Amino acid sequence: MISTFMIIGKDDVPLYEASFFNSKKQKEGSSHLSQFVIHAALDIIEEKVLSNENFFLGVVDNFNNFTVSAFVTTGMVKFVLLTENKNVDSTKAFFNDVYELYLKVILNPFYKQNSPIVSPYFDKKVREKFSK
Amino acid sequence: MSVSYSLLEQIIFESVHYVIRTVHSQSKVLDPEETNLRVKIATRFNEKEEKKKKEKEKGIEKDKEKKNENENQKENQQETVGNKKKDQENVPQLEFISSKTDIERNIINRLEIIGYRLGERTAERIAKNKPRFQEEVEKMRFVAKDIWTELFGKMVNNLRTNHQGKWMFQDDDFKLIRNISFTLSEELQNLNHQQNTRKNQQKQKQTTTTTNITMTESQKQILQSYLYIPCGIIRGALSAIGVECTVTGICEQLPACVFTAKIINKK
Repeated sequence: MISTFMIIGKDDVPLYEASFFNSKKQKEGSSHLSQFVIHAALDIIEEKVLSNENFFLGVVDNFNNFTVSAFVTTGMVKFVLLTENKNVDSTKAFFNDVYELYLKVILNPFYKQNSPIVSPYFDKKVREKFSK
Repeated sequence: MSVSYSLLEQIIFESVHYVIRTVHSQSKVLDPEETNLRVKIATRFNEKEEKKKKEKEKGIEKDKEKKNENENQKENQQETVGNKKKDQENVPQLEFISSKTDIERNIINRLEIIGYRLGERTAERIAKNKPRFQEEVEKMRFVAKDIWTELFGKMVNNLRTNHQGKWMFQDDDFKLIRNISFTLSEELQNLNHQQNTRKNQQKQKQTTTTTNITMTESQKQILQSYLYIPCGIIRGALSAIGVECTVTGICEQLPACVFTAKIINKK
C-alpha cells in the first residue's frame, strides 16, 4: 500500500490522483489497492457529510494500519488522503493547502469544472506540500 | 456603492451588447430552406399558438390579434390550396408567430452557459470560509446574499418561495440593466423620459420612491436578452452547491427584475 491522495468530483468522478512512494521496496502493483480503499471510503464520507458542518472530516476509515482522511468542500468535491501516519494536524494543514491550490485551478476560465486536473504545476505543488 | 463599472465589467457588457445586437439583426435574415421548413412547421402549430396567445393577452391588444388571425386564416387557406409562391410571401408574417429562431436559441444557450460557469466558480470560491449548507433555505440565502454582493455589490431585495420547489429572487435595482435606455426609432416607442442618470438615482434613494418605467412588449423582449447571463449565474451557483434547477428571468419595470428558480427533483 502506498500513500495516495485523490480528488474526487461532485458526481464521484476522480479528478486527480497522486501516489507517493516512500521507499523503493513498495511494489507498483499495490497502487490499485490504495485507490480501491479510497473509493470504498466514499460511502462513509457521504454519510459523514450530512452530519458534519466542517469541511475537514478527519479520519474516516481504517485499513490495516493505514488511515483514510477526508476533506469535502461546499461543492461536494472530496479530497481523500490515505497515509500511514496518524497525525491529524499535518493532514489538516495539507488539505487546506491543497484546497487553496484547487481554488486557483478553478479560477482558470479554460478549466471546466468536474473535469480531470492535468496541470503539471498543480501536480508539482501537491507533491511539495505532501513531502512537508 | 458607486455607479461606475470597472473596466472588466464594461468589456463584458459591451460584448454582451454586441452579441445581442447581432442576434436581432440575424433573426431578420432567413435562408430559403429554413423558411420553407418553418412554414411547414408553423402551419401545424399556428392554431395552437393562436389559442395560447388569446389566453395570455386578453385585455391588452385585441385589435392587433384579430388582424393577425385574419391574416393567418388567409394564409392557411392559401397554403391548403398549395401555392408555393404565396408561402414565401407569407413567411414574414409568420415570423410574428414563431417564437424564436434556431440562431437565437443557440446564442441564448451560450449566454446562459457563460453565466453558469461564472456562477459555479464564484460559488466554490466564496464558500471557502463558510460552513457547508445543510438546508435548502440556507443555500438559497447564500445565493441571494453572498453571490449577489460579490458580483453586483448589493443583496437581493426579496426572496420568496412557494414551498413547492419554486424560489423567486427579486432585485429592485438590478445593476446590469440599470443604465439601459431605449432610443427613438420607428420600432420602439420612447417612454424613457427620465433617463436613469446618477442624479436621478440619488434623488430616488433620498425620496425612497423608485421611478419605474413601464415598457412595450418589444422593449421587454430586447431586455430579456440581458437577463440570460444572470439566470445562468444563479443556476451555476446553485448547481455548485448541489441544487439542480431551471432559472428564468423577467423584467417588468426597468430596474426591477425577478428571477425564478424551479428545483428539479430527481426521484
